[in-house]
Amino acid sequence: MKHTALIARLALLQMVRSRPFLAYVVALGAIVATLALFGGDPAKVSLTLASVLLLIVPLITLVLIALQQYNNREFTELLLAQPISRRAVYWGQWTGMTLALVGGCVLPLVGGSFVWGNYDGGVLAAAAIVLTLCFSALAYRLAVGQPDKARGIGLALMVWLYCAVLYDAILVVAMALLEDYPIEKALIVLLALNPIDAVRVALLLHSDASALMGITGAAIREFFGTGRSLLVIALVVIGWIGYPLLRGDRIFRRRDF
Amino acid sequence: MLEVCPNCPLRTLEQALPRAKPGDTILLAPGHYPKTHVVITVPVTILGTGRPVLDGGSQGTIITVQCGNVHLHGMKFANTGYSSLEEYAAIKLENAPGCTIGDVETENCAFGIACYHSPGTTIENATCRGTGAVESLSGNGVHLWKSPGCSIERCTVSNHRDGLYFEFSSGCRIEGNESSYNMRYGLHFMFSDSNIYRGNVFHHNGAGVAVMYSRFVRMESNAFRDNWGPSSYGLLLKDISGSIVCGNVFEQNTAGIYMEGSDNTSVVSNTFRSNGWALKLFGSSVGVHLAKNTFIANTFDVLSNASQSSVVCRENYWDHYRGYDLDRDGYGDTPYRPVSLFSILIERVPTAILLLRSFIVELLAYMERAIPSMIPPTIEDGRPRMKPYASAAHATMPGINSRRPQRCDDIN
Repeated sequence: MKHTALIARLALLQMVRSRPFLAYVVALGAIVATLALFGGDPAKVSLTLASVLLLIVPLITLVLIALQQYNNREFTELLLAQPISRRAVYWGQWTGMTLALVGGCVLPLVGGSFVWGNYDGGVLAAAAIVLTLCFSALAYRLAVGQPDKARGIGLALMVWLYCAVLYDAILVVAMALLEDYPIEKALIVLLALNPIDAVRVALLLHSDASALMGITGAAIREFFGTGRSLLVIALVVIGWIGYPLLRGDRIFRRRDF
Repeated sequence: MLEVCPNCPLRTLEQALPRAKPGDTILLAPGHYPKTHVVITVPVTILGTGRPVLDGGSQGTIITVQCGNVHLHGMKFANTGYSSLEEYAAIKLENAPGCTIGDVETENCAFGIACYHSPGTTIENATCRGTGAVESLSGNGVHLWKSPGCSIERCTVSNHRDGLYFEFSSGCRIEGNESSYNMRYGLHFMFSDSNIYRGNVFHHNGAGVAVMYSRFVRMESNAFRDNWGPSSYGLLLKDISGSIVCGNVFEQNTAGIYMEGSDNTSVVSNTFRSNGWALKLFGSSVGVHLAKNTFIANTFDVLSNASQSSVVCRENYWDHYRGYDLDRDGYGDTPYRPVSLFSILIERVPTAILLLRSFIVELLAYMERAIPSMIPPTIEDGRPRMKPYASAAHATMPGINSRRPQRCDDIN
């Protein structure tokens, strides 16, 4: 445990000091500031910020985690030469990097809402944390499993493209083709399976826009609106974080460096 | 002239009314008159001074008028009975033409002012506050049944079932009223032709405003605001014909106007701002004239399955329009299609609304702009305006009662 914490601290500091990370935080801060100052009414600021976060947070998280993991290859090998368990190295590095990224996106969001106060910082920060956790787990698993850096980062980008764009595109086509069938429930389940969509729908339900959903909104509320559904969402998110990490753990322990 | 006060020889309206001759005035002094249930059968004027309170003691109707030319002024009514069988009201007019009701207040009454077969009634400066109890027990603020030619002005109605309700009441004038926080509709009318609605404000009503089965209706310079909910509308038009909706403001409604089965209806010079759908226009509507409106910050401009021939659409300002104006005549050189690809998808598969604000939807919108031919032509604005109309700027002011109607008089 002591080793894990130590390695986590090292990974965190390294991430915080890296230039891409700083650029990410500054860019996020700039977006928040621009929207809060010039974005018009609060509802619109929240909405635009949410759209931006849904795109940017997964992408940057995937790339930064994969990048640092590849750049750290020699350091990881050095660590493994010491009397430190592979588990400690694996979990420590993930925890450190992820904590840095969580802080990096929460800080501008919460800070901005303190300074300007015209959007719902808490809800957006929660969404950003969920997205960061899911995609950092995915990226870590990819980077651990794929020895080739170019391929690994390519894969990370593919994951982003798939979750952010292709998944919804496939759903649109499927809906257009299957319009005569009762696809409501299936669609809700499919949306819950993609972390970006799950977070987006949760944000929609939280916002005024939920009134636009009419009968669909009623169906979702029936599905999501109870304690049981909260459990379902929590399970899906935990699944998205847990499965890649455990799988990566297995790979990492058996890997021949 | 008769005088009623708590310490006079005539202590209640019940005692005074049998002595009243036609044309008499009954002066009602300030005070609380409990257990009032009276029937007026001679044309008298009842004048309240210092706002006396007529209390129905939570039973029955307070004043029932059964003859014409009765004038009620300056009183407060409280606590009628509630019933799901009887329509209890603070003031009930039955076969009473030409009455005037002015400066009255009703509180905790099932129906505020109910008129049955009473043409030519004038209701002014009435305030009706319901309790917002159960919809089936509660009644309407101002209720007209088969009472043509009435005028209702500067009334404030809230927390009733329907704020203003008219059925079989043609040729009425409804002006400067405010109807809010009603459980169902702010304004609800059916089979009431040739009515004029001007300068009213309807906001925060359960389902907005619904008007059905009527002809030659004019709605000018009203505000429809904050009717927000899964089955709410700013204005629902069903089977309306030959009507004009002009100079109104629709703000923060789930659907600004929902139009179904309506023909020869003009929607002109209105402002639609921050609605979910500015317009839901169904194919059963023909001869709809959509011109000179301003559309700002709506999630969707138009949802429609109408064919191009049934809707005339021109010279509207659309904030989603991305065209250009090379000849600088103030109108865009390329047409605008307000029905987006995504809204077509939603119309066919309502579940698709779950993809709202998804990146792919933004991409679709971008593609539409780049390749406009991919949208099936439903409604097209051939001359979209480049700048919002000046009337849209006024619309931000609180209360539009004072605002003069914008270019409504030259439309036919």
